[in-house]
Amino acid sequence: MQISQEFDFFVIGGGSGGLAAAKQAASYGAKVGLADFVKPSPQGTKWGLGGTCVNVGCIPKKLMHFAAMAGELRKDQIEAGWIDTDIQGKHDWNRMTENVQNHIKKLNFSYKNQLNKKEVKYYNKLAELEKSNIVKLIDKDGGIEFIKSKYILIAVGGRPSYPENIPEIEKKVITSDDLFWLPNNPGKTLIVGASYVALECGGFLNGLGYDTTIMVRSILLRGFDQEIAGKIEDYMMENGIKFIKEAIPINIELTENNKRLVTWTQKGIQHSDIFDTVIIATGRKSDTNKLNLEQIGVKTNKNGKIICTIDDRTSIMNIYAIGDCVEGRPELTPTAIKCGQLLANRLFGGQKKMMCYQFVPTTIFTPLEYGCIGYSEEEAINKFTQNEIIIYHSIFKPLEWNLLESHYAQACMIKLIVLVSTRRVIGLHYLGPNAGEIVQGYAIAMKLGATKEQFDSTIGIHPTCSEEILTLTAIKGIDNPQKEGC
Amino acid sequence: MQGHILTIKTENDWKQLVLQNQKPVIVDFYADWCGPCKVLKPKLHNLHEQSQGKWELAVVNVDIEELQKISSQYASKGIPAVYLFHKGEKVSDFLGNNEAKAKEMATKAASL
Repeated sequence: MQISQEFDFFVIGGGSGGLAAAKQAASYGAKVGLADFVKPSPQGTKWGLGGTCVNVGCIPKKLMHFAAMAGELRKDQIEAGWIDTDIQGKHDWNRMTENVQNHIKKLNFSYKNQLNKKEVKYYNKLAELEKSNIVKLIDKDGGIEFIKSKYILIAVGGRPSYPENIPEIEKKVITSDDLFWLPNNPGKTLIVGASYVALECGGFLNGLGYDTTIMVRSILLRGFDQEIAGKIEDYMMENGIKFIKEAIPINIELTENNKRLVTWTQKGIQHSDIFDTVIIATGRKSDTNKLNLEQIGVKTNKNGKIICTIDDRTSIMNIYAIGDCVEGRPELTPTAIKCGQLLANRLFGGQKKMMCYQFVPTTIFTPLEYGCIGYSEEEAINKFTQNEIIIYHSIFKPLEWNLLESHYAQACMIKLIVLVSTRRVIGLHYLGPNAGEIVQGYAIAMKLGATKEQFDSTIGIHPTCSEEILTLTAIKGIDNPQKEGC
Repeated sequence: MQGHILTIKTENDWKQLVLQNQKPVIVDFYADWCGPCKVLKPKLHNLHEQSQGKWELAVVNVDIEELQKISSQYASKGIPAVYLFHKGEKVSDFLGNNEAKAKEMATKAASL
């Protein structure tokens, strides 16, 4: 076996975590290599450098969510006085996807340049562990080379998983891997799943004008605050999205004209309907099964996620892992990035700081957006008991919604979960427009241990939705969350 | 009449057609997904047609795998990135869809 190159740090996976770790390590003068290779989806979709977030996740999702919202704003435009706004105007899927994909390709290019500038050697090859310090690299034509590295970082992320009860399902459905790259609009769509992926995709498809149905096995947004999840569902239903609850698909067949005949059971009864497109969004699995981990001794859990210590070390001393492929980590870009940078700081920069996963803010970009930091109501009651927490709540209506009568007055909500003993705000939940932008700033306050009194003593900006977070007085269980009068 | 445009596909093309070219060469680094590149392209073509053969126009598609080293050297700040080379040396360059700078470069190229 001939070793073609030796590195100090070799990263497998060029996504959010891998790229950040590689660049940071290189900035300390380490000799760094990175291998990124996208295995095509079962439908044949593939993409460039940058990982899930850039190519088939956060970026195209947010752009398409924006596109859908831009369309929904047309009704408000009319009430705001604009003449000739056509609310019946159709959406051009190809124009949107061309613009989205051009942006993604720009990002692929920019990442390649960044690696080059930082002198990180980039391999567009599929990597496998050959030994604990040797990586086998396979190019698209099957050509093989071996590299050696002092440290290896596994940052391979995940891919969508498929239900196992339907034969040859991969040929008949698409996933988020394919949706953003579809050459034609998806038409009448069924989305199977209850995760934020399912709801975000269903949300924007409906907003763009496609007949959208979401099929859910049990609860929506498991792990998130369920009161808010219920209101997200209400809002989506008000906007025309159909939910089929407590149902699972049992068969999918291709029809003569290439549509999908889906059969499902709901409360013991079978139903069926025809859709143009079926999107599976029932979960993601770690992309570790072809890395040869078992042979090398890198331990994973039964779902393929790598088991790591708090300092990102695997069961093999010089092999580390970060991001979505690691057990117990949030599946978020910013945490993968930060974790990768801190790891590089520890390995090459002589620093000691570990990643902190407390009070990580996040936002779901459903048609009505939901931003949250800290404990959900269920998590707080579970950890602290009902007596030790107070929940402040408010249902509010954004000022701008008052131009158009049809806006749902009870849609938006804020909840603050406060610990009785310290008055510390341990959970913040905002359901309303611009959730991501609004919630971001509060994460600093919560990290610093801000109390309800400190929130209340901060002056709000008027007129905004955000100021509602600083003026909560209604207590859940005692007061109505809705203000009376103006 | 369309002047002959040099399409750079390999590192060898770069050496022979750009660096070793007897005439001045204006090189356009572009990509198919780049909007401003599409707008600048016909402007460069026009200037080339008007040049009466005083300089050559070469184009480099930055997505070509083989040209990665060259693309990252010259196009790392963004595209369209346009360079004027003469006798293997870079004379001038500009970034973006800038018609005024393109005209300036064409004039300079014609005078070399």
